[in-house]
Amino acid sequence: MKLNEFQGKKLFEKEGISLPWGKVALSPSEARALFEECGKECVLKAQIPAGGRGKAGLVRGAASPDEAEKLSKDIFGKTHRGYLIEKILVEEKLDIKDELYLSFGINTDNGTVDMLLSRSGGVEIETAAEKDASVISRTSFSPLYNPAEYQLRNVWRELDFRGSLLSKLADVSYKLCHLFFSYDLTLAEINPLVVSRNGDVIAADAKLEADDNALFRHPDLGSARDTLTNPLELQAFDIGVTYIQMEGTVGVIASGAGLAMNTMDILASKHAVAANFLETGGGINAVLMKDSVKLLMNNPRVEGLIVNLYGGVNPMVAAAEGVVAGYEESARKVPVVVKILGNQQEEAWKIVENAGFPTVKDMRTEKAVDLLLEKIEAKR
Amino acid sequence: MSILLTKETRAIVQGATGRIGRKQTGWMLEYGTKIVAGVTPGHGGEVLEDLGAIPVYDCVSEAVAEQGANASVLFVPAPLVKNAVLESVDAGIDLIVSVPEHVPVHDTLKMRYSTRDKGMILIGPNTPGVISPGIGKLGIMPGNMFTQGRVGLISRSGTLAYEVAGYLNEAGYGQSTVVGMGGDPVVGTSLGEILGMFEQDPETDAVVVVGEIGGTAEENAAPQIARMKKRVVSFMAGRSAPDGRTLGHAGAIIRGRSGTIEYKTKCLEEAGAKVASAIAEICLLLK
Repeated sequence: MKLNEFQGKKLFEKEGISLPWGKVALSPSEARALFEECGKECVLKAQIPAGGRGKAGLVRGAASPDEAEKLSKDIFGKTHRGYLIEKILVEEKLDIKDELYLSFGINTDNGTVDMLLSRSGGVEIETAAEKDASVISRTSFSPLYNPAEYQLRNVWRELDFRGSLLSKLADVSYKLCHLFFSYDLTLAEINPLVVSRNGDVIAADAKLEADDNALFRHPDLGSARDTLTNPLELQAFDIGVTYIQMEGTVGVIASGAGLAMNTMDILASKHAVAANFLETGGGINAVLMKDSVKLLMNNPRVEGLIVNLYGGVNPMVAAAEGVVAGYEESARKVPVVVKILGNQQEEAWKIVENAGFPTVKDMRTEKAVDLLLEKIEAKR
Repeated sequence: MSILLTKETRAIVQGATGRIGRKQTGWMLEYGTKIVAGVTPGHGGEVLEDLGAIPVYDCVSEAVAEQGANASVLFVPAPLVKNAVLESVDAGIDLIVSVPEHVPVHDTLKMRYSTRDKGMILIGPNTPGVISPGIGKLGIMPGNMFTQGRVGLISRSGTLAYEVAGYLNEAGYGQSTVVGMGGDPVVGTSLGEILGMFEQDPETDAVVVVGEIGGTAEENAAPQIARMKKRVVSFMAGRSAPDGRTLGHAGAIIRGRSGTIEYKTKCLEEAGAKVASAIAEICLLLK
């Protein structure tokens, strides 16, 4: 789950990381009042949990209260990557000498915690790094404990930082790393990490990503539900399945991510496009399956539904009952094809066959796809 | 022979007294797996009468001392997985199969580090487990989906392992061992390492790798594939996935050039693997 910048900065404040003065405005008049409270030039920053704000014109400098009000009027109510902008962070404009880059992340190849540093921070760092990988220095640490402060300091020292600046950079790195470990973050990035003209080290931005699977340990971070915007994705979250909206018309329910992707690939190979990706994981019960079927059946774009299930840890009889109940309870009916294999398969087949669904009893997903596409074609 | 799960495996089930653990323990025993004990703190001294009268212990070290356990399969709630794995590591368990999904990734990092540090093997987390047809299974893979034979099968996705095994069975390619690597972005044992085990196994002739879009597992395994004498055939799911979206497996995020099916195919083919564009094609490439 991506956190908003202002949420990240609240954590920075608790940790003692230096920040620009800033407060959140909920309206243009509030933005104006905050500008006046700040008493100097400000930056207005749209607060949404997504990147690319600068390039989309959602981070703007304001030199007067009038300008702050006018620009924030433009920004409020806009939508970026599906997120409606309802909050603007009004922040003091910094007197920048240098823009550095600092992040902690997970190295999925080696299972380490990696610190990335660069002298050339700012919005262009990704393009710069693509051209020349050496602009970023990467250091891997054991994931067992926070690295010690001196270990982080030595990496900055290798980049030729000295004196009080070296100490300040080591300090902010240690604090960010502590947050990374203590909040189960998967990414903690400060870009740019600003060195001001009077030598202060200030976090101008905060990009934090928390692990959805660890949110139970951090109730103060909120819920992954808060970052969902699509109403169908919200319903799916409440049902307890992974759902992603797609462009097509064929509904897909699968009991695993790989199986769901393969089903979509087979659809694509037959010039049909999935309406969604829906994966149940290992938590199938009759209610979950019923609600998932209803979710897709009630989507006016869906012309047919393929249910593709394997019972390893999932109970197939409950799944079959759920599919039938979901169909019966849906006001809108479209063709359904079911493929079920695994534990209790014979009993599960009986249930879906008695309900009249075409049922595939071997591993050929392709057969189920062909059957469904025929049914959809016949109905058109 | 087989890899990981062999005739010498004496397994415990951590969480055998829970609802899922109990059911799966029954299915593993039915399949012929040598399960010697269950471990659930607070349930020490119980006996699972309906499950071959296996004893339950409070701690792994007791199960090791009294039953000679050398492997563990986990069915404990995700928040408790790290503790359970570290307990098995301390008790000297060689092979740990961590089934539950939704384990926090920082926990996985610590599990991975600790097992590797002691030279133990962690499969998963978020894995359907390991099955050696004719010998046993540790995890949730349905036994009736697999047949005994000489093809090794490694999959990032559980459900696709079953699907691919169906095609292999039909074409007469039984399996020596089937390994679910785990669908999370960080797993205990890499694809390359499992391929290395199959290369050493005298009862495996060829290996099928079922990958998927995102992550770098396939790319990173290329050097191992290049060293192998045995044939490697791969299939990868996710060709039709839109760019940059996570499709269920948290591992399946495309980042830049690496992670795409095109790039993975290029790496695997350059290393000498055959890459199938559909599951039905895998058996043709094994010939």
